[in-house]
Amino acid sequence: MYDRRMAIVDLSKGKVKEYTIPKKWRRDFLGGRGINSYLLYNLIEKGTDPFSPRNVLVLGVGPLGGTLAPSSSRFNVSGLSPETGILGDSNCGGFFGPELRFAGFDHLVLRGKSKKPSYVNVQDGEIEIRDAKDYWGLDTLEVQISLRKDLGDVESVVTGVAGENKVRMACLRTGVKNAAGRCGMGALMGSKNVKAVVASGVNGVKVEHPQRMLELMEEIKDYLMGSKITPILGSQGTPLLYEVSNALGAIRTKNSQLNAWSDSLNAEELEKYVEKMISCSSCFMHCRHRNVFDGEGPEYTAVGLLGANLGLEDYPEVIKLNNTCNELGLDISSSGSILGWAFELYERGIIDKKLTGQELRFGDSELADELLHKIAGREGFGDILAESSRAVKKFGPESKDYLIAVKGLPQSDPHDVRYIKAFALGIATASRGADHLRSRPTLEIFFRLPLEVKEKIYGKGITADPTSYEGKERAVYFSDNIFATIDSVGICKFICHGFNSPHFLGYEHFSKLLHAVTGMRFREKELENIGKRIIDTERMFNLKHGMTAKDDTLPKRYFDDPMTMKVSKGHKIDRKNFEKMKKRYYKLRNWDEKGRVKKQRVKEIESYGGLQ
Amino acid sequence: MEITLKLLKPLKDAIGKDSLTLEVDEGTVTSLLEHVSKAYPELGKELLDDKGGLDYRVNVILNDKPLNELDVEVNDGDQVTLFIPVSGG
Repeated sequence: MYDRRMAIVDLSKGKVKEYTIPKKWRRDFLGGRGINSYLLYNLIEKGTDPFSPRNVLVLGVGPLGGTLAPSSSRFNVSGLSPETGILGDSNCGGFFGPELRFAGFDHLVLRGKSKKPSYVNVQDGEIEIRDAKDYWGLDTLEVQISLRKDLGDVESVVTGVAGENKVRMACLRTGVKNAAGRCGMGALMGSKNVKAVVASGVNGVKVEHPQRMLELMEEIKDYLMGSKITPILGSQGTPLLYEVSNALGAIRTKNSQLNAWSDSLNAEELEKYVEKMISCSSCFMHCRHRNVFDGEGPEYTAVGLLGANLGLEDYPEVIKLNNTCNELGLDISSSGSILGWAFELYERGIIDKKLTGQELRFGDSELADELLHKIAGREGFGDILAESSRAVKKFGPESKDYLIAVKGLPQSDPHDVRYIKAFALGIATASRGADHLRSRPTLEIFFRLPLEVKEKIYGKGITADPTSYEGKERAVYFSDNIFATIDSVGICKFICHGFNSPHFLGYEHFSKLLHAVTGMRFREKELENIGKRIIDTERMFNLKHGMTAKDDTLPKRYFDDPMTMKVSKGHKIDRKNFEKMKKRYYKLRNWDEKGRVKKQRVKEIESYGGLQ
Repeated sequence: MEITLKLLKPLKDAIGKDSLTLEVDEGTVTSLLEHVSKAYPELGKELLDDKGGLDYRVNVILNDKPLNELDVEVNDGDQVTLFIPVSGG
């Protein structure tokens, strides 16, 4: 069996070099996102253009990936983001991550640029760069089917037509729906003339203490199945959240001009169009929908951003747009946000037919579908939208006032963060831009969580009221750290403490699982420190690539426009209170007043060195 | 007095309805939920914790105001919304 190997694939030279991952890295960054981020900091020089061959694309699986550990399907794809110019990092489920480990590698770095369309084949410990001319131009599903037809039972992570055309919000996809969605990782793969990374292997993953692993899994299964939340997630999946956010008046609607929308997008309406619930590798949650229109999804993100945000009320229309994004290889979060932004700009007269070539309007799914195809093909007005938030250059400076993005990344989830202040700080400071999957302190939405429970989780100083700015830096700090650790051990946040129930898996469980699998002992505090180290490394990467404290902010609308509907009515973000909260967050993280990692810490992290 | 109880998924599944119109005596949200849990035991199972109190995961909105304390008076015509928040991507 293989154990913790990585390889650098030089696409320009056609060469592959293999390495054993240094034990020190495994100990202090674990794997997955942690080691990926450390590699990015080391390998990408300041001033690199995201589409330059000097950029790298890193795929990484955590040490629990491919084992019996629950929901251990996850892997991370990282690089300098074509969408934002800072950290690009995206976490993905499905079956590819485990298969990459079965094929012999935990991390794969693609550098340089292939002279012709290629794919990278990883099979039983061997890596080969192969011709992809027969696959170029295929959509994300067609290419995976073709690869299986030609190569047998392989798993692949692929870029679609959008990625081939370097659409800055192009994602990578594996299976029908699973996506390394955020930050344009599909465009980065496309810029390297690579269509896919394919993995297959007959070896398993080395587990140091198999008997202990079996016992642990029995315990963990009972523990998770005992939660009231588990059957809800398994039967409804994430679309359940639409109704919750909508009840609060916190659904981003028509580019956040409104904050509540139609009940027709509630989860029970979706059930009419669901064939069955399915799962990723090693997961008993089964939160994914196979829909009756030959696709998978939608997730809550798609319901909100391709539904309410585009002014659509009809589920079949939303599901079809979801399937279109999946097939073309477009990130749903960015696509829905950018379309909603363009529609509002047109309504306001900030852009017109001279630029768009056609009338734009909310509530028209055919128009949205047409534009998604134009974006993927970079045709006409689609070529401008394909630049994602960088379209400000064409739309003019006023357009920026209506852009729902942070650090150039359109907001990931449909939840309007003006009401719950910790959510606002979370998306403002997240290392990849406006994204809830980096630090969303979900427990803030449990309005009746006793203060003593909150204090036990987040520390003294946290306040009970979700609309207060006081102490909310603690909730974001805790979540940032544990999410980074979760992404680095290789399991899904859905079953973890902090993201859902406080009774889901936390550091204590990670420690036990890591010992069973790797034989290495980690104290809970050490695992939290690994999360902190990863956040600091990502901050160092972003600072190196030009980010400053000014970029830790929110869309202008969130500061200026109060919400108008339901529970959230009247709420917006107060600039002074936000800045104070942000400064407190920096202090907690031991960054300086300008949000910079202190020199001693930089020195400490840089001392881990490079690959030998 | 008349109170409307609105239920979001999965709570609504317990009784197969997304709202109830209740005729109750004057009281608080606590007494209202005690009444509902007795009248609709299947819903009560979802709402109550092991000690018989309202599970902390159940959020309560009285009209447009989220509550963290339940000893709040309810008045004729009020709407009480109950839901369990979860997260996801």
